[in-house]
Amino acid sequence: MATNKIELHIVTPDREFFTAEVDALSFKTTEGFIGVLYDHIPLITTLTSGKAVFKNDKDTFEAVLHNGFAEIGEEKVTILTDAAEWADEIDMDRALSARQRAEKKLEEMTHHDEKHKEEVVIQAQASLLRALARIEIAQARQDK
Amino acid sequence: MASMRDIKRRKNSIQSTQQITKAMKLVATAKLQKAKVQAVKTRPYFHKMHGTITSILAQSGQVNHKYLDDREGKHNTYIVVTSNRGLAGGYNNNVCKMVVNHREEGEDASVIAVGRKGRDLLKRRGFNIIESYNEMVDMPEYGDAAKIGTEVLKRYVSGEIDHVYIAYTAFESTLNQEAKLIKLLPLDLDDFAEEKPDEEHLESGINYEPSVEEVLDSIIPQYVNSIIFGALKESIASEHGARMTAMDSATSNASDMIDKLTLQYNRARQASITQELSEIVGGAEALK
Repeated sequence: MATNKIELHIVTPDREFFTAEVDALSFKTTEGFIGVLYDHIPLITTLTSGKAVFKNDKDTFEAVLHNGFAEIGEEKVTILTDAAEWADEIDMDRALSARQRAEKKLEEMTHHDEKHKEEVVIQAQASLLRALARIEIAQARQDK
Repeated sequence: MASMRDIKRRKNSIQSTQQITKAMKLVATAKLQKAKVQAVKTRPYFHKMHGTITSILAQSGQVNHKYLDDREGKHNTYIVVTSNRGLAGGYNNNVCKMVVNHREEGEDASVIAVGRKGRDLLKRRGFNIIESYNEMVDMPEYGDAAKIGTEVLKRYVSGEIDHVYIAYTAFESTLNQEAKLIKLLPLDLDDFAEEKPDEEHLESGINYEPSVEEVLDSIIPQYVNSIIFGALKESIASEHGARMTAMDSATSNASDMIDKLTLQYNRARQASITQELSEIVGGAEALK
């Protein structure tokens, strides 16, 4: 088994977030969660905000990735993402208040004029998704 | 010959200017170190992005996509990255010159200015400034780049503009920065064709989820944002580099001038002493 490792690169605009060899990984695409093992079919797919898990031997790493895309090859996976955070980097309070703000914005939608409505909704939904993904993974970590 | 007092005054004034330029050089050097590291950090993201797009386009061949067709129109928009502050040698001027030289007869050019200097310079040259962002210049973040990118794409998709260029200064080294103008939209297939895509990709058919079009829809805006982000980061590093070089030569010019003035001052002093002496001697002679 030891030879069948996937070379994983996760890159964000401001840093090379994670570079390692892993046995398996899973992350959330716009079509739903996807799991990748060695010798996966080549695939390019787009990401949405959500949990990502990397497994290497007995270690498990959890992180949140926000948008971007992944290029999956047989033995190499490259994920380019707008932002990435490890579970322990997440600021729970900030995520909670971001969720509140986004929910409030969506509720108040009716007051906005039609022209900007769509834009505001998209923005609020995106930040809600980000907040939810952060909260989910931070919660799971706390419960452990 | 100027009087001793004039020379002295001039020397003092140059000396205080020199102190300022020296201080500015030190500040620019310190800021440059930080900006340089950050500019280098954005490169891997950009290279990976470029590589992926290259392989997608090589694979999918002639796809028809809204970000890829070359429209005939003459509405060109330039994103111009300059600094908010001057005293950086030719830094701002070089970028603006690129834009001015690129403008053609009959072209309807508009400018999205990032940085106050570029906005003012191009406004004077008669460009239509549609948008200006000044606060983000010193500490650009990815969100800032995305804001500009979204704005440009929106205008591009709506047909308001036909071509988008970005003018910025590439950071080659501390002593060498080069103003550049590159085409952002539509994507030029030739730009990608030059590089050989990974062989691995070519032999195995790649799958796309949800579909090629949707993947391109999402990747190209990210690609545009990453170019803008890279340009912002490179420009800020270049700005500090340019300012450092400019202030270094200003400081050494000031030293040269001070040396020259010191020499003049001493000559004037000697001349006045000689004159005084000869007057005294002359006076004494006359009394005999």
